[in-house]
Amino acid sequence: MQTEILLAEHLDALIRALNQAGYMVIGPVRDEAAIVYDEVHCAEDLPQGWLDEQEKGHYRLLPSGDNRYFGYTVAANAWKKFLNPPERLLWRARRVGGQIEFVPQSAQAPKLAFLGVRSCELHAIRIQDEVFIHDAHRDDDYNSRRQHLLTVAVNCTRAAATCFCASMDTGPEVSLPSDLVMTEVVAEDSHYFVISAGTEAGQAVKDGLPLRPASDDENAAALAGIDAARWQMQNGPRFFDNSDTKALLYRNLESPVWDEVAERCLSCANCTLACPTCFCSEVEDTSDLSGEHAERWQRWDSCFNGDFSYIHGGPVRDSTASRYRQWMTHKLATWVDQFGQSGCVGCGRCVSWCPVGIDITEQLQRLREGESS
Amino acid sequence: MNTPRVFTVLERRPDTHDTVTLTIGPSDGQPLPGFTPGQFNMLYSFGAGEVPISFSGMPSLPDTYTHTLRVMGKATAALAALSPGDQLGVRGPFGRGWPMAELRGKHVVVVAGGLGLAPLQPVLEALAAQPEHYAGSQLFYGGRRPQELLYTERLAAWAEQFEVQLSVDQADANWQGHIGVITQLLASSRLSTDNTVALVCGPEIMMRFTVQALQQRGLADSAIYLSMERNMHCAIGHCGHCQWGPNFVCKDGPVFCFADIAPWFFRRAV
Amino acid sequence: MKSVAQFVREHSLFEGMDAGQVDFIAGCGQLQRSAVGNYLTRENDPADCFYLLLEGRVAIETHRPNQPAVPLLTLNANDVVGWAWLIPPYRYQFDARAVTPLRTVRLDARCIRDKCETDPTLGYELLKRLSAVMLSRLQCARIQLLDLYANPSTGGKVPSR
Repeated sequence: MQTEILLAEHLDALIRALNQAGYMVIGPVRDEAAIVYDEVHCAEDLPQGWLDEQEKGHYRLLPSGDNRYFGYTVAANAWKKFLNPPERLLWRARRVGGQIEFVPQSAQAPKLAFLGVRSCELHAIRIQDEVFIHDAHRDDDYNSRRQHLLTVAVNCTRAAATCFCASMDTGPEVSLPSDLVMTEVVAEDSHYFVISAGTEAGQAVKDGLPLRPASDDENAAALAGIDAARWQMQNGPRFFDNSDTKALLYRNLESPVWDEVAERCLSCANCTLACPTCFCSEVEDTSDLSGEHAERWQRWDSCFNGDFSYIHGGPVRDSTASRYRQWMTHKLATWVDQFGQSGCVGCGRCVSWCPVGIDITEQLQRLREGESS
Repeated sequence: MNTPRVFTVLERRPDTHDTVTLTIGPSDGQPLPGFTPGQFNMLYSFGAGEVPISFSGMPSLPDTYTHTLRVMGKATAALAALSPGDQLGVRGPFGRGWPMAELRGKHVVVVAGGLGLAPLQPVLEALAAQPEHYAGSQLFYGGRRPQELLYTERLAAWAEQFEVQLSVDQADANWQGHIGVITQLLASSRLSTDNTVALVCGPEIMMRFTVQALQQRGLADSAIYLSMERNMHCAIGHCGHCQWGPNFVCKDGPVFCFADIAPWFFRRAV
Repeated sequence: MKSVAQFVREHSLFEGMDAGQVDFIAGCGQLQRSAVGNYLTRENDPADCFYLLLEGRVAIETHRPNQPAVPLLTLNANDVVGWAWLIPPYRYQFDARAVTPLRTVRLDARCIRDKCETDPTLGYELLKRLSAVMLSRLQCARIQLLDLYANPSTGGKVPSR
């Protein structure tokens, strides 16, 4: 692939080019003590010089000691909220003189450019595409947002302790098509991005940037960064062999491990909200006092919520153990049967944002140990 | 598929103290999509909410849908209160129905419990209308009390075409049918197991015992179909509520071949 | 016209049983017809016989003062009516009433009981077969207790209009 060099001092040119092409740019910004995805107007909005320290139930921003823009790993929130909003009005209805009229509500999808999408996150977006687009029933609203999306992916040159994309085979190197792909390199006397285009839309944006061809050394430096991130994960405590995960879970539906984790799990739903692939939603039907107007709202929901599995008489999964089993088994096993791939991309958000520090990779390990004991 | 279509109630018939049958037609007068028995619609009562209800009418009637519903909450109570001329919202048809084509030439054993007769009514009408297309038919229908059995006139009509065995949990001495459980009748009846397909719909406990009774009688898992109930909201596999193991009950079911779901059927709290 | 022995042999209770044992049991039996409303057993009567139901429907009932009889379950062709003969004090616990005209084989329980005391092989074989019947009745009674078909919503009622 043809790679070129965008000097770090020209990063603003990329944001400007995206704006000029009609895109609102969404990227990483510091929001108090965390990095989140939000609107970005210039390179100065990016969290330059900061990195994230992540562990079980732990997230801290620390000075990175260098001037990297993308020294952090993944933001606290996932991109999914821009493609599948947490709350959406589906339709309004009127009843006048006994006659009902429904008015579908669908907003014009904005042209969004995601700046700084990690490989695991590209995989997560593709997984949600399988749910909402590549199905007998297509979610037109989601599809329209996807059609208007441009991605600027960034290869990871550092892994957080919670990262396990190397186990899930979803990173750290960008392994799905992206309009643009960049790798940030900070050397002793230089700071640049190795950049390439994966689509015509990406090429068109790239054409307007001040670039020069990348040298072999520069390409090698970029790859060395990615290798470093991979090495970190492969030699970290969360690395595991994912080849039989589905079978492991199917063998262990009645394992005592579920009861053990349920003693800690608060059923708070944080993991499902932080997860970039969790897609469940609920609808609420409302009407006004006059009884003439009604609305249907769709909102994110979670399989950890008590009424999620309600059928007349009560919820099917009324214990935390059954709900945690549902979540983890869905993510790592039944998802494969449903959509042909795992529902986990190894981003580690569920590990960091669990208030009691439950770690999905550790739970897998416990299931495995339970079998051999 | 997200926005309901406006329908008008054409006919309302109370079946029992808590169950009513509505016949509805599209208010715009435009043609209706066809359906397979066993599929369902989402019925919306203005401001009160939306519920999944199976088709209980004949697919051969192209201008109307018929739904039997039981009052269980706010939305079903509001739907049951509708009068002819009132309007409601309808989304559908959704899901997979009974394997109608596969029934041809087979001996068909229908086992229904309580409200579970509703989604099987169009199947039974088909069996009764063209008995020559099937090797034979039997209906086993269990209910709570004689006065809570659905479609009593149709039960009598079907009984003229094929064997109909009724069972209730409680009855007074005037009741001529069986008192006990439907599985007893299944165990003691003449049941051919060759070239036979069983269709089962009722409360989940009843279906568990029924599947076991059918297996004991020698029916293969692949010859047993049943209709599952889970929390169906969006009806198109997007909201996640009706997940049951690897299945979305709304789009992979509600009718499943038992052979496909056997690993999940007896498992708790999935 | 089939003989008593043929009916006994073909009844599900004795399926696959040793021919000599079945013949002995058939020797204790006689064919009987009962009209609608007749009782095969009456609560608290000595349990001196039991019945193989060949045709018809029997209601097992109890009674309350000033109330109609309460049917608990019904038995149909190929079922067995009565097992109180097997266990002391050998008294029927319920009434068994003919809901439809019946054809049964009425078996003399005293004759079979006495034989079982001296022939434990036959006794054990019969006990196993009747235990299966009792187990099935117990399971059915439990399922009935579940009130499976009740509306889970207590307020469930079609609105009156």
